[in-house]
Amino acid sequence: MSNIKSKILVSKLDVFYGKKQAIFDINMSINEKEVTAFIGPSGCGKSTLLRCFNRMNDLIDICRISGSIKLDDLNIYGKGLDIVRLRTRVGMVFQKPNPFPKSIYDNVAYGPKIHGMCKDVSELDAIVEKSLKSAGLWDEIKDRLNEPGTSISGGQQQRLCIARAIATNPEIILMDEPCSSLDPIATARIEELINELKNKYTIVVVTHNMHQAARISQKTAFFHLGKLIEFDETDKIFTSPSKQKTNDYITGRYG
Amino acid sequence: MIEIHDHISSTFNNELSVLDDSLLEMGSFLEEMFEKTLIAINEKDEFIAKKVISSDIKIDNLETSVISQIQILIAKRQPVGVDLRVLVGCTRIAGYMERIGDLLSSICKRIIILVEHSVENEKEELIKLSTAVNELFKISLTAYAKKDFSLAEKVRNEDIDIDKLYKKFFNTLLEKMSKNAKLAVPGTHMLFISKNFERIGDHATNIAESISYMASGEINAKPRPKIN
Repeated sequence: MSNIKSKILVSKLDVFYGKKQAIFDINMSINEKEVTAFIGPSGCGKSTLLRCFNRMNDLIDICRISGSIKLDDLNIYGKGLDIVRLRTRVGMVFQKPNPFPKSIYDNVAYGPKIHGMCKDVSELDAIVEKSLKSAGLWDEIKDRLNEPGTSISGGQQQRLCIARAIATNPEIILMDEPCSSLDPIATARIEELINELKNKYTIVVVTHNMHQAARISQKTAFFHLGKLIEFDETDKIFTSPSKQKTNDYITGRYG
Repeated sequence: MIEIHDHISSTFNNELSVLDDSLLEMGSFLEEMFEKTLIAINEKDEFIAKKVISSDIKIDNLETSVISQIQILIAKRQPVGVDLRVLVGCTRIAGYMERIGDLLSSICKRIIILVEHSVENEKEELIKLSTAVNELFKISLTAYAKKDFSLAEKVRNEDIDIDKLYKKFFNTLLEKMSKNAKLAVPGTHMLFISKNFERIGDHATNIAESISYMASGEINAKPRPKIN
């Protein structure tokens, strides 16, 4: 286990929405090429923290952040940081599948095109094919690449969004409740995909489904009222957590 | 103390209560079997011994019911944390109780054979052993009923006293048997009976360790105190 490397280092992080503090003094290290799950009741700050990792919170005017988040050695809140470049390194998948109103092909090709990642059409074709294959979608839609991204099923749309996220060759994929609008079969496919993707990418998943966290992640962080209550091996968190609050939450004693 | 009834879901609380009651019923029925076994030894009572033997099936049925309830609870509730440990612990405890039922039944089969032998002198030490095991077993049941971690620890620490009594009984009887051929048959049965009581002591300790596991999550219990 000695080859485990830290990918994201969060230090003394406080996040405020106006005067209201949403996150309190978070310190944690997220391992590279592992799945880390964030769990906790609504409003506990898990999505807020996730959105700090690719500076999505910059889009909210009243949001203020102090402390630091390092991606490898790069302070992502440092002066002069190129946010567009950051977001190619940190991809994101949202709760509801949100394909662009474009063809399946263009959904995946969009990122590589705007970031100038390919010299010609054949290179772009190769990226699209590789991304769709990595997302486990290629065999199902390879003959429908020109159809609208919105024409496929919800589960397929979510895998299309994952293909879109990995097309720009990120190092980290953030997932905010990626299965909450999917049926159990589509959910199982996404979970299987996450398990495969962790060999290449560092993945952070916010989920309300605790059994999903238990199934797919190596480490789990439990948040409550903006504080990190417990962060440990997933097996430990779900069998014998150290903190009473964690136990009470995962066993349905308060919510 | 392990609290099992404070979930948001009252249905889950009720299901756990029913499971708890089933294990307590198993425990109290075993207590009765144990008391009858002691009477059967003391009073050479073949009738009571037969009653113990025939009632073992009830323990088997209760174990089946407990395992079936746990199976449904796991499927429906997908327990984690302390709930998971309680269900794993209860599965183990039900198994140990079932074994104790078997051992009591087996002891009673030998008591019936002993009825026609005169072993009054040898019996005294056996009664001491069986009474001590009964006490230990009762404490382990109380520890379960109260979900009391510290009481469970007490059982773990007292099992060594049972081992000492067993060893003493075994050695003394073996010596007597080597000098008195008439003791060969009843003595052998008594050796098996004493071994079965010693095993019941082990299972009482296993029950206590399962309670400790429910509370702490430690799967590997500390080594038990042992005699050299």
